[in-house]
Amino acid sequence: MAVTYRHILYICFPYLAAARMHRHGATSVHPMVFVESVKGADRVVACCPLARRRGLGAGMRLADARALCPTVHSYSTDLASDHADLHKLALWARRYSPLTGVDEPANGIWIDVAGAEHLFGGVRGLMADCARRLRQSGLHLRFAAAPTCGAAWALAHYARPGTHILPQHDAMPAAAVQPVAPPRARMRASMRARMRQILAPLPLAALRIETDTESALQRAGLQAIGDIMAMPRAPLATRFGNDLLRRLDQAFGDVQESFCPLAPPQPMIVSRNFAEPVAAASDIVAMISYLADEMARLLYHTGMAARRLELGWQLVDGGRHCHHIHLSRPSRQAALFHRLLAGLSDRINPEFGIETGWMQAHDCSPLAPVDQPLQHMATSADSTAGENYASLIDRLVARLGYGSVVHLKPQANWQPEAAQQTMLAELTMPAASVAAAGWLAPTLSTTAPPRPIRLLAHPHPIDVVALLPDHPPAQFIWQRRTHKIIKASGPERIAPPWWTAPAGSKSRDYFRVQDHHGACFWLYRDGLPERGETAAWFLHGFFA
Amino acid sequence: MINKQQAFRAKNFSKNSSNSQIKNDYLENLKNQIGSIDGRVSRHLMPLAVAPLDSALSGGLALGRVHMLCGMMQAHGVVSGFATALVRRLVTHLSATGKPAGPVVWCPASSAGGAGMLYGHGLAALGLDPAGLMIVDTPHPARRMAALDDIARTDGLAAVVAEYDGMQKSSDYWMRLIRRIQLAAEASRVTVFLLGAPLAANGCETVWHIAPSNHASNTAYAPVKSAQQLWQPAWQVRLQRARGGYPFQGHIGWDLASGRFTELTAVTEAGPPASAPAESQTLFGRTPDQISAGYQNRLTQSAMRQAL
Repeated sequence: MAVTYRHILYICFPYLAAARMHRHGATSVHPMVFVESVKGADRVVACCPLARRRGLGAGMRLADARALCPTVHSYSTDLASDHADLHKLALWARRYSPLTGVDEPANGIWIDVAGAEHLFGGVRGLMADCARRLRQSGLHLRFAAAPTCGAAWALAHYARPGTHILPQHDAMPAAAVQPVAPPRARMRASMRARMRQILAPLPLAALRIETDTESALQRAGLQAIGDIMAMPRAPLATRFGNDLLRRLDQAFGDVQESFCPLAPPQPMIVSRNFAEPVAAASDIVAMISYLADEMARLLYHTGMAARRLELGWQLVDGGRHCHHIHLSRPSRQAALFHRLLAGLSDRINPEFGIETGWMQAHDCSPLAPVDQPLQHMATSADSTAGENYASLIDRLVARLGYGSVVHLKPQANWQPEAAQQTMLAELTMPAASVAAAGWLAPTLSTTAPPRPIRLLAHPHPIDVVALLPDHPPAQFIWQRRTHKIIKASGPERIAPPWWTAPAGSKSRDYFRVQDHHGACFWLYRDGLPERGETAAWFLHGFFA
Repeated sequence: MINKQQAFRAKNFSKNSSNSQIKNDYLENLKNQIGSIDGRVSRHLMPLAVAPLDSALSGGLALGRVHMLCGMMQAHGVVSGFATALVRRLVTHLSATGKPAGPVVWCPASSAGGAGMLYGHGLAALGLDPAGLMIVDTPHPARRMAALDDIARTDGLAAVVAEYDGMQKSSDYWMRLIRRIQLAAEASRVTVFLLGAPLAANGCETVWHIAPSNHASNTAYAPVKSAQQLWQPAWQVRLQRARGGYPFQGHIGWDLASGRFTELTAVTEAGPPASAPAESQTLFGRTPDQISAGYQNRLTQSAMRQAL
């Protein structure tokens, strides 16, 4: 049977879900289990290393887990996120080999490193590099290398850590590599013998067989792989089905098995090469227009929409430059691209000429084909009327720079400067009412504390005359101008959050005052005189 | 068509005070005729519900036009406060016509210039929903102004507020800019408010000068007033120029509860009240005497604590 032995690396992540919880900020004080409802009972599917040490494990009922460890926190399993994480890991593993795949039911990834291992100093060097990088990112892993997928799977899950089945010359130190490789047949024979030797003591579950088959085999007194290796095949097939023998043959390489390799994501890129370098303004405009059309067409055919576009160009001297355009929502409309890129041709300095121009779409997301079939081919609309709000955000961002169009978001914080945050403008629906949005001073509320309509980002120090230390000021001097105060209300005391504020932060007493011209100001005294703190006065905002 | 003889008759009518009703109707009719020739009758007006102001504006604030609110931008909230009140009224007016009003675009002056940044909690207190506010934050006033006609061209916006801070430009620049914004705003029916220091020449629909109000009814301390009444915003408003209207000057207040402009009617314009400043202070309803008594009390308590 002409089955070639390869170098398969299998990496299993037993605590993938727990690692994700830690990544999202969960503390590691309490043991965590991830449960799934099986036949009406919550069963543990995965756990964290801490829970594992307390004796909890997959397959256990949640009630039993709670009895063993009362402090356990249970979460429902998120298979979609697990799969997404595995997918990302498998894509990352493409640094070692072009053939990587996801083993979804067992939380593992396959890497076929045959032919690529010499780049990392052999399979052992590759494994060490891979394990080091993965452990650095906080993942627990079990891994094994073997000539077949089945054997690698079995070793990673059931053998002692560090058990590998590798060709003899790879297992030796590099200096002792035999100058001439042993004949192929002899190598295959020795490999097969070692596989039999190492796989024989492993339990039958290492063969990836059904649980029912496994328990039936156990009832017949067959516990390890070695027990069925020696048995005649025909009765086994009759009694336990062909699946058992197929898995056994796959493990030993008698039947070819391959995993489904992951298709790498295609970069969304269109480019234009010029036979002669171009430098004329009209040529650059034409290049941008061509790239925008091509990009819209590409996005349309792949069913995607981009949040960010990168327009790049390479000069004759090899210098590469690029410009990014941010969109407020995923889009693939050629007209919009044209509009956003319109002013860009002036900013491109072609120097001695542009050799290549390209456009790449980033942050792509699938977009249902809601637009008309021919819309992606529409060219730049010259009419200026009828521009809507969403494209206004994009046009302004393209014109004035990233971060120049913002929304105000209320924050649950009493510190006036931290009580609002600016967020990048997106197409969000306005909240139903002002109070629901979380603003401090909604209309028609008599109890809301006063807040100015303009707030100084950095409070200005002022000189103040007050009758008594805890009185509102009678007059203040700011920017060499004296303001006599005719009306004041307050104080509103705002203490710094002691759990986050730096040492030495003082409480503030805010006053709303009106000067003799009628202008209203928001002043505060930093520091409380009755506590013996030195008080300083600041101007913080202006009322309407 | 306007008839010279009719106009002459109207002039004669004006001498006769008993026929004032007929005269008013007649003049209204004449105004409409002139307006239809001028292309101004079709414009959409928003009454401000303050009778003298509305008559000065010949019916109300024209929508889809460029209005200029002048005043001291730095170290004051008055101009932005009056603009907020106008926009709030505009949003209410647009919502009343059926479909919900679109977002408001505000291009504030750079916060480094001393005007301070827009504060959502304060805008919400004046009744403008900050969730419907889009802020175009760029430190260069010239680039901000250049982007303005692009903004004004956008359909579905409720209003555009733009601040030009400390821009030294020729009157020719301003005439061109305002004309360009005006054309864009007319197409999209977006009302544009320009905020900043007074300009010599411009082609705006209305020009307002806003100053803080030291009107007696606003500043006088009255213990019966609630805290909200006490702090009703008020502005000294001078309508310098209104197309099709006439100038106006007066003190305009803003009723926080109902979201309406009010006219402060008291005729006497008092300066600062004669009473000492401390007497007009309220500290959440306590008089200064009570407060100083409380302060004394605290001092005594701390002295006692030390003695113990």
